[in-house]
Amino acid sequence: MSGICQTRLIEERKQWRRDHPYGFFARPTKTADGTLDLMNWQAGIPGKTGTDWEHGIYKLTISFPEEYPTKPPKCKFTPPLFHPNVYPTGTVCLSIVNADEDWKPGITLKQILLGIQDLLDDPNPLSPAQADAYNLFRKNREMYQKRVRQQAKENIPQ
Amino acid sequence: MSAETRVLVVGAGGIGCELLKNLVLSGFLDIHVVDLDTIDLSNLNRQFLFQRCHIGQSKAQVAAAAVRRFNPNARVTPYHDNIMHPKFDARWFARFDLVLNALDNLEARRYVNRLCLVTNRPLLESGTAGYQGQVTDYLFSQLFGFAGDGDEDSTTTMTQTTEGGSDNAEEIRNLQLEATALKRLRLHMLKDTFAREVFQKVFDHDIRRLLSMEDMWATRTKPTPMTFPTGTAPATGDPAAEGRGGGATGLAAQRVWDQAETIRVFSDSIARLARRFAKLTGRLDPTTDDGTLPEAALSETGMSFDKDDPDMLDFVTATANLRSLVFHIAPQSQFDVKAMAGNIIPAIATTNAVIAGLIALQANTLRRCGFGNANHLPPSCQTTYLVQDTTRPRLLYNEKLAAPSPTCATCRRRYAVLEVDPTRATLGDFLKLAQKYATQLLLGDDLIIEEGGRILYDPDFDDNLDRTFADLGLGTNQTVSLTSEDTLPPYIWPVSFWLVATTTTTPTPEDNDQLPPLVLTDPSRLEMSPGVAAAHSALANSPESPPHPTQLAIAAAAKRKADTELVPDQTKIAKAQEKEEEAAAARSRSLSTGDFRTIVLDADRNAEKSRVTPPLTDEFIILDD
Repeated sequence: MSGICQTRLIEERKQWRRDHPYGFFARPTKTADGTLDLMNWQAGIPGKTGTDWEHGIYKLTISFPEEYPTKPPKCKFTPPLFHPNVYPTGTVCLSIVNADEDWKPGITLKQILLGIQDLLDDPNPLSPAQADAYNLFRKNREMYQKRVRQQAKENIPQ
Repeated sequence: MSAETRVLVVGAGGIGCELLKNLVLSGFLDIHVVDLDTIDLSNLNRQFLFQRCHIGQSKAQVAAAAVRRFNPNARVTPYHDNIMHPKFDARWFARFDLVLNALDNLEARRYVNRLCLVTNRPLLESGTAGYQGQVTDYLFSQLFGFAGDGDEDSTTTMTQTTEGGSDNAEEIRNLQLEATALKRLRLHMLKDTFAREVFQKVFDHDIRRLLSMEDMWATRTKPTPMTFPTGTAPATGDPAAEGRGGGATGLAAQRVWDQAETIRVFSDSIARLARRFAKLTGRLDPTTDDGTLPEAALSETGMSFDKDDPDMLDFVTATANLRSLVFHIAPQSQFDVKAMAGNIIPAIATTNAVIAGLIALQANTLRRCGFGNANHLPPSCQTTYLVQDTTRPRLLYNEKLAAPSPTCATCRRRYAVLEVDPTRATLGDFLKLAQKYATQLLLGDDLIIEEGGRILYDPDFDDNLDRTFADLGLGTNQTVSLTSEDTLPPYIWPVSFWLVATTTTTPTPEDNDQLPPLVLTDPSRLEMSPGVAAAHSALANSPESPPHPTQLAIAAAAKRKADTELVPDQTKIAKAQEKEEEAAAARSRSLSTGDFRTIVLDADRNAEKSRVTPPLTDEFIILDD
């Protein structure tokens, strides 16, 4: 892997451990050989208080490509999330983590996770990624909210 | 003097053959050459050390035997092997005075560059592409780009965006169908109508859809949709039975096909490829009555393009030319399509000869400088470009390399060789070694140990301290990096330890146990050179940040080192003056010999400058004792 990539990821880990927003978690995954894999992280994003997403902590995997930080990491909800801007595979569709849109190498892990938290209750109807959530969001807001609250309940950490 | 000079040439191909010849003829007498390749017919037009009778033999061995005849005093040692093989470890690289790259790929270039950094060897890097070429000298502290080439975009793109927020579910469904239509055609691969269906989709239906967007054609020529001619016999996929226009060689490949022939090759090659694909995936027998493949076939991966595969080249030539016809672009011969689609850059013997000549000149310049011994500072690093550009008056241009920057994460890294017995040394031993050299490392107390994207240890993760290097999969030619969890002003200077596995087959195990499991070959490599330390302090000494204890320690270390190294300065200046006079005399002698000479003289002039006011580059050189 590239020296720049690994130097930056070590720095990201350091910064995250020093200071991260309340209720969030993010750490490199432990691999089969007993070491930590800097290229693949596990993270959790809490739903904002006062929204339908409240109380849930939504888990995602963050995979950094070899070209990071020139290219953005791939953020994927596991399991896939019911949300208009989340692909059926779980991948998040958000401009700040898209290489062809607003990704900049200076964007930190903290900014990415806060950005995704913002997206939860403020979906972008111009970028639908899954038909299910998108159609319900457009056509039956009440049903949509009910599904979101149900999902929040399912994602309360044990 | 050259008898003691030992050089390593990596690669015995286009540049390598020329270079080996130049080296033996200019008095280099101890040359080692590594190449993993064997001689191919297509090499013979430019790799002049090889002849027809050598085809199939090792390039390194044949080249070595050939140049030995030019100078019987030369010792040329060939290795028919990959330079990245662990047997060429850091200790082996350290035996050379100079490393010359004559490689054809980036991976090996980066690898040799890193080993030269680790072992403190000067490197001459070179390459040619068609009529262009370049030579660069990387002395000790230069590292070229590490970021990936990024030639493919693997990120998820949003294919399902609806314009203007339309909530028409049907529209979304249509878009989805459209996006998978071509893929779904694969299910008809083994049907007689397959070529026709693909043709109609790509050259008729899709083109009509494009035409429906009127705005698009306001300033462009409209394409003309094409329909599959009726009466074309279904393709059988048997080249013998088909009138094949493709796969031709020689002059026939340079003929441009007409439309009818192009369509014939299209249908024929598509049938051939379909049969190969079916065979490859074990789907020779279609599972439904009408020849349609089951849905599962959709997830099967395809074949990838190879310019030397006649079926694929036929398909690409025909398809590209049909699309050209639709868009009123002149069609191309198969020969030209092969060059374009295969991204073939012709290798030109003359370019290789010019570049190899420049390498040999630069190698001689460095030899005169004693390869950067303390008393003979080498010229500053430069790149010489061979550029074919008729608007410019010269063919050769040179440019100085930028000095390593203390603010650059790549330049900041330090390198050292670590000899390790992987079966005995534990990660804990390594941590102890790091603590022992704490005053040189200056990385604070909270260390992080990392290897190729794996964190092996940090203050919150000490699970692996009792495990051995072997258990962690660490051996020769891997790099273990040490960096800091602390925030050190202004930057952290990580250290990469290049591993050399020591042999464990000593006569008696008792003796073996006496040896320490980890040995740092040259601890002085850990110290920051005075220049680095000075730059470091200058950056840290900004008015708003008070000096940090670590920073004071760095400054003290720098002063100690500078005091010991400043002594030979007087002799250096005297030598510099002497050399300046020599160079001036040489300049006046050789005014008529043109660009080649100029480049060497430029190098000399730069060398003089660097002696009077040493640039940052020289400060970064960590000299062997």
